[in-house]
Amino acid sequence: MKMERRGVVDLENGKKEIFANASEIIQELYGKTASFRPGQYEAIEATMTRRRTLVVQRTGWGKSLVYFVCTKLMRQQQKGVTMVVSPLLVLMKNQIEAAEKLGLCCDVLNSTTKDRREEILTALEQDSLDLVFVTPETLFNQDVQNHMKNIRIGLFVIDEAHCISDWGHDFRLEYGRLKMIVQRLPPSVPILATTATANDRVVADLQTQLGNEVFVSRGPLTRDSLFIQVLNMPDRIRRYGWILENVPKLQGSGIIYCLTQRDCDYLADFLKQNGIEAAAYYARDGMAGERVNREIEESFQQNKLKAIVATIKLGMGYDKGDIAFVIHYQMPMNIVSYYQQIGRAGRNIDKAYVFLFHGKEDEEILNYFIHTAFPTQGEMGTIVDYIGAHDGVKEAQIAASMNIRNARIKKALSFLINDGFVRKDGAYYYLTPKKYVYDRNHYDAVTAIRQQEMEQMKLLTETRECYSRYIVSCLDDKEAKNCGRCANCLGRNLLPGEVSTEFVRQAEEYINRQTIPIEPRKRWAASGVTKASKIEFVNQPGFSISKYGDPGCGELVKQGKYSKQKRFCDELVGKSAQILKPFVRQNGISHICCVPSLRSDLVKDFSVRLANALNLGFADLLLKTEARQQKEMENGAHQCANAYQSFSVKDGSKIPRNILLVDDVVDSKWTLTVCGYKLMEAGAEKIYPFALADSSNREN
Amino acid sequence: MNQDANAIITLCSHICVGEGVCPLEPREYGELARKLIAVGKTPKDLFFFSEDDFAGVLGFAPEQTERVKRLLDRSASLNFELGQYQNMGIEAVTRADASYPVKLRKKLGGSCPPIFYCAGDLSLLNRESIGYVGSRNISVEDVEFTKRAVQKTVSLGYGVVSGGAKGIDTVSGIEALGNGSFSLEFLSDSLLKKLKQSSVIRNIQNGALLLLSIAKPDAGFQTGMAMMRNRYIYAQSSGTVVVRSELNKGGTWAGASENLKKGWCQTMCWSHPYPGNLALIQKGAAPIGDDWDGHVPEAAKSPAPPQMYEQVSMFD
Repeated sequence: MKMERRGVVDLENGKKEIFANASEIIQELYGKTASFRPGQYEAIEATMTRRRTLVVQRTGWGKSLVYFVCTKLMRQQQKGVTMVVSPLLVLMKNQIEAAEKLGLCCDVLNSTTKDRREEILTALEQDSLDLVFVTPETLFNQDVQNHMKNIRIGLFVIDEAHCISDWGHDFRLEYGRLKMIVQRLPPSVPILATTATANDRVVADLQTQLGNEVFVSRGPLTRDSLFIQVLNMPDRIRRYGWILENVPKLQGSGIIYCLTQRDCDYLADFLKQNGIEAAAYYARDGMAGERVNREIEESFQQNKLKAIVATIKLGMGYDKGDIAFVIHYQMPMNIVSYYQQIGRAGRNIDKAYVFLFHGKEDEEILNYFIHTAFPTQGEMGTIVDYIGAHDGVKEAQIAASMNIRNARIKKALSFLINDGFVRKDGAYYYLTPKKYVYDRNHYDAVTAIRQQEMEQMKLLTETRECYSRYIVSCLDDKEAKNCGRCANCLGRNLLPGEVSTEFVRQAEEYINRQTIPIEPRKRWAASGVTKASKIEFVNQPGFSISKYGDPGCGELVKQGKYSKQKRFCDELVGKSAQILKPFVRQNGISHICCVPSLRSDLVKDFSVRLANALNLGFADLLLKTEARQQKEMENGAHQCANAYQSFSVKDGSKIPRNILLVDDVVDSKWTLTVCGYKLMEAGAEKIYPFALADSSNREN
Repeated sequence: MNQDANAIITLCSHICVGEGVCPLEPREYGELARKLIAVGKTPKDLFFFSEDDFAGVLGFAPEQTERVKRLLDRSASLNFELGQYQNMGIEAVTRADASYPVKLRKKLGGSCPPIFYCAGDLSLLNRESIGYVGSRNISVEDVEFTKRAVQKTVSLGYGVVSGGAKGIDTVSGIEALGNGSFSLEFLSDSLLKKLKQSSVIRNIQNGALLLLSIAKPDAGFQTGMAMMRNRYIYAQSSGTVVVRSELNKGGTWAGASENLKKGWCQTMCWSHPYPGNLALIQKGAAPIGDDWDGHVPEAAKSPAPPQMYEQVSMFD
């Protein structure tokens, strides 16, 4: 009894001391009159005493101040470093400046500081840093893990904590591994989880993961600076036109969100060609890709770009206070990501404009994302069986032994590793003692929820009530009031909903002369037939003139392919000839050769007509021997091997020097690569590939 | 997460040993545990101890306090690494866990290791098994005897417990698994290396194989470990068969001699005229021949298992 009472008194005294010290810290920073915003001190006290804390507060509320002050207090108590796990993109300049004002010594561990990694890790080992930001990818990197044993962690912060919950809108596999760490950490290491975007379901899930003792701080989510308008835009042409017409009218710079990388590339290119400074931003591979992204981030940060055209890769952790507008070129997957993306705007300015386009095709893309989010039972099972039958296999062996797309194999492997069914040691994969089961019920439940969330998003486009209120009420903020600023509250458009004819024309012109590059392949895929080595004869860069199925040419290609008479229309011949004319002249192309087919003369017929239109010779040089369709081949190893065995050059052919190699639809490029290779092997000098449409998937 | 277990791991694990970190040895941990019991505390309370508490409550000298604090400071980092192992199917089981090998706890008492790293179904430890030991270099004759012996003990419902090494260990384990029984292996080297074999994974997944080691999962072979695990085999088994021993040297000889002294279980020895075998029988091992029926003979004059240890707490 006595002991217990003493404990209570100690706790109360401790809290008083925390309050005094915390207040002193912010008054030193912001002046004598400074005080905490509602909820901030409570979160600090909880972190310092209750040790598991969840903060759900809107962007701009000051979540980082909570962990800065906690770090300061804990360092005064000689505790270890604060580790902030965050999916941040750019150096969080403002945040670091704020922390430094508090006298905290900070650094960042992510791919942008890779060259300084050893130095930062050494500083952590020597306890000379107070706080470090780290991305989950970097945190679980072997070189970082090797140093962990010498690092004392005093406070563990999980920024954007909704990523841990696979019920959330944005579950990330890398975050999944944090889940286990959170459950393992002893109570002496406090955990602070923060997010601006969690509905009741996600909050409940996070609570379970953090333990039931968790203190939850939750506040209103409405943002006072956002002016929202929703526009029905059925097609690409009108969307392009509207953006071109209206973006120049908007003050400052902003973000245009697209669902796919390809859309980012096109739209950014369109804007640039029409005099608007824009850049496409999405997950780019490798060091070179990261460099490109960093340059774009910087020029956007310095307001050298009017618009950054981005996938959701530009989202969390992106801290630019004066983003003046956000346009959604397509409807996002759900309200939570929408809230988060528009939340990038208007952080340090009074007014920011937010526009949402929606139309029928958006739903098709979103459905595709929803239904391909999880590996299938077949994919997982095949891979597990294969790994289990060997004492260690490489990814290339897996790809060569099964007809599954590489991206799908990678996805399945990361799920299997995350779920603890497979482990990776060096380049080799092994099964673990955990018996594999396909968690169909869970995947189905998550898929169903995502479907519902998309319906909720669709309702936003139809609602006549306040947009802002609708959005935050979907996030379970029940206190929300009408904003009085959105198009529905005002009862009028912020910017016109219709596009002027002039801008429609410009968009149409651009889309009609647009080409998609066919970059030549330089290495064979590893398979039973070919080795992963350099291709001796490489094609020249070529192009296709549409995206398969897209309005305009893409639609015409689809119609032609499935038409009864098996014929591509004259319009396609005309358009191709028009675009190819200068290309053919520039490159000294004398002949057209087509990719042969066993099923129809569709491509041959088209090629002959195209040769006539261009005044070129038609050379029927190639033979097809095997009849397995290339589109049945799901990955590079299989496509490459299949194509390699299928095509040959006809005996006794006279081979022209420079040839335009024509196919109808290009996807993996293996057919064009192999046909080009065989033609060059037979004596051709340069092969220029051309296709009517590109059907490859370059999704996000 | 059992936080007492977490504290034991933090204090004793050789995983994640940074500069200046010196994990507690089993004996040291045992002392600490007794002190904690005396003041009515459990290991997890250490997470919240102040410097004064270490001195005042446990009577620690400053350097002892410093050492334990340094160990506790690594808890977050350590849990990262353990989390990684957990995701590879390797668990750490401590004296604070109910699934800790109970037979070892009873027979070995305070000298039980605080932590085992393991892969497989721990409930296999509750079933009866026969230990098989012998040298790594064996003849066809040795193999044949081992197989027949295992077939007999398996038919009586016993599993096999061994050191998971080449030779007798492997032969007896495979024979048990092949006859529908189970195999327990106290390894003296890397769990991770063993887990690269697909057959090992398959047997674990089928619930028939359990691997245990006191070495951290990525460790290599250590002679000291090899000696320690002999004890675990004898203590875990209902009786252990020595197939082939050298005379006055080697791990098999040392292990069997120790068991004959301590009496953790009945030592049985193949009555083959190997000098080592004959000497062990001379020292009191029960001779078994080709006609052995698989039953563990009643101990004639082996000393009763010492009851020197009394279980006082889940974490001790």
